[in-house]
Amino acid sequence: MFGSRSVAKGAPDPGARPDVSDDARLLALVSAGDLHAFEQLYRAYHPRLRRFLANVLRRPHLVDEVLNDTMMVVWRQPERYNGKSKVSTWVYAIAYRKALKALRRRDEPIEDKAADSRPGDDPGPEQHMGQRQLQTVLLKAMGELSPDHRAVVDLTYFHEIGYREIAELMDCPVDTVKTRMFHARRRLKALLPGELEDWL
Amino acid sequence: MGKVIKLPHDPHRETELLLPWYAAGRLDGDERARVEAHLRTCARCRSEFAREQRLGAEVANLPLEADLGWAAMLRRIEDSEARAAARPRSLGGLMRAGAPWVGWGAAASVTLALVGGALTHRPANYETLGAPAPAATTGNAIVVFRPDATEAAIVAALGATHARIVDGPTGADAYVLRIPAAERNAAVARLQTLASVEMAEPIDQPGSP
Repeated sequence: MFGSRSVAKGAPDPGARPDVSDDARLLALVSAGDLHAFEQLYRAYHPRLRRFLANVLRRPHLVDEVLNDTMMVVWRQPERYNGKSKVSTWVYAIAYRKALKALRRRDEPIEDKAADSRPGDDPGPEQHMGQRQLQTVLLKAMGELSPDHRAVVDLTYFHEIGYREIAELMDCPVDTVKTRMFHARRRLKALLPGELEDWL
Repeated sequence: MGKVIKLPHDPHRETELLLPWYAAGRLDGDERARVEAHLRTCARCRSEFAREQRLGAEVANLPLEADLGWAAMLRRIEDSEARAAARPRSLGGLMRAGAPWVGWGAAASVTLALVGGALTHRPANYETLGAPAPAATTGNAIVVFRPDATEAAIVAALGATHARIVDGPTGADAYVLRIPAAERNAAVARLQTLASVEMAEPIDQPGSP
């Protein structure tokens, strides 16, 4: 085994998530109208969904709205969960569909075109690529990806979800997930300045 | 939906496609074993795996919410500054924006006759002893600054002559000035000598001294 990621995340540890049976138990209680159980689910999913939606939507003002739309489905229609997948897959799938719907409804430009003309993002050749600059450049490069590609990248890298689950929640074939990820990685690397690509 | 690449039997390609989930520890036993077997024999894919780990960790570490929130905040600041920049900041611009122009806007050129004519309907009581404070739009001189006059030069000219702009600009960029009566003629004479001034003339209302 060559080991998993060697660089520790600053973000919440996925290992701290409630286990699958916890989610299913809480959802069963939600089905019975247990508001307290729903609050537990809500609080458990809030940080993960915020991150996921922030990445897909890239419009901070839409994130809370879509997040609560998502959780409202969990509250009102828990019977739609069929038990064949993890609860988290079902919840992410709802969030993903709601996010795409919100983007279509708002008809807002998905990419931040102005970012290209905003000074200060790209380091000059003589500048050292510091950690903060790296994040700025990477964030900008992520913004150049389509929402589909961003979703796959973040679900894999941050949420550490397997490609089969991603395929399920995005409602597409597993090979599509793999190729989306392949193209997204290639695109990300192409968008990074040479210095950063060498640094990676 | 993107074009689906058929999974080839090329171990390089298979490994490359699976690396993100291998790095995340999300492959099942068979897949993991195949990737590991290939990595043991392929330096190129080992190198790619190291890059993959780094890229994955960096993306996972992105403070997305704060960064996107900050980007939105920056856009808001930029929008607000752009709106502010669209508002006139120069003295002339401020006058244009702030002073409603009554009876002067159509003036194509500044002549004393036109100016005098435009002022004839205004109260003539502005310099008499015991008269109420003059209305903001009553003036007793007119000035046209040179187009290249700086705001600082204009402010200095007005300060040196104790003049206040009470109206303007006209369509020809003339400003009506209010100058203390006793100083008016000397002030106008001084204005006429200044490099920043194109033209300065007294305005006398009908019946005024």
